[in-house]
Amino acid sequence: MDTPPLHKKARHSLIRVFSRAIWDTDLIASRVTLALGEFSWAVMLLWPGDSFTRPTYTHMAMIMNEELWGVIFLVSCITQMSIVLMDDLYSNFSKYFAGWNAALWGYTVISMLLSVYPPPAAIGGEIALAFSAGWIWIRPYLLVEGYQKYVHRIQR
Amino acid sequence: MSTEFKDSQIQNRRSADHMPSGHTPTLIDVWTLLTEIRDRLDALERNFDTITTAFPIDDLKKPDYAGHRRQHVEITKGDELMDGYKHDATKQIIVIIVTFVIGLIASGFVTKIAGLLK
Repeated sequence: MDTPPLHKKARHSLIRVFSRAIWDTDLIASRVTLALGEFSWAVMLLWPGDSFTRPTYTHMAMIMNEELWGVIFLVSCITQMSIVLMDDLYSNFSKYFAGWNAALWGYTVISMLLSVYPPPAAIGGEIALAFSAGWIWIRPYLLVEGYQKYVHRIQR
Repeated sequence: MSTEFKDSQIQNRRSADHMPSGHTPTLIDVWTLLTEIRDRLDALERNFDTITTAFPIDDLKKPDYAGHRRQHVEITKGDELMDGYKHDATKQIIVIIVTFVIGLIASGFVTKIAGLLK
């Protein structure tokens, strides 16, 4: 039997490892990290002082004041940790919450990127968290609906 | 005669294997051997009954061996399809990420060149 060339083996190995990382892991660590991020945001925003005078938060300040944003992040953190601690990862509530959480982080990141130029380097962590939140939301739909469409396509 | 033998005792009690060569078997030897065979058969039948409880009962009121095998084949096919789907989706995600990164680098490069040419 011919062994595949090295670059094909490397490519197959890369796809296999990446596939395992994104599909075959539970996302509990991501949820806990998101909860920690939301808690940090809540603490920083509820800290005495006016953070929203900085240009980075211009868009967020147009929506509501920083205390309200702090409360939103705090509620999100508590809800996220409750989902993890009660092992309620697959209910309808946690699916809807994941959608809300993805929207919250997505808006936060995009608003900061649009508020200043060049983009602030410090939001690298927030960008990663926004992708994590988006993946937590979208993965179940890809595994069910996306898989069904794939099977129909294969069987045609 | 009691049928309450532990299977390990039955397995270890192979008197026929311990008969010295040249020994002419007596009636007692034959009786012992037959008893062992009976006990081992009982143990086999008990094990078989235990194994068949793992199979659902079909419309003929018999263990559904064929259905069990078919279900395993279907599960294996389903797993392979799912692995194929995850593999294809992962490739598409990698392509998107690489395209985005190349686009980012290229846009920075173009901006730099444009700045130099001004």
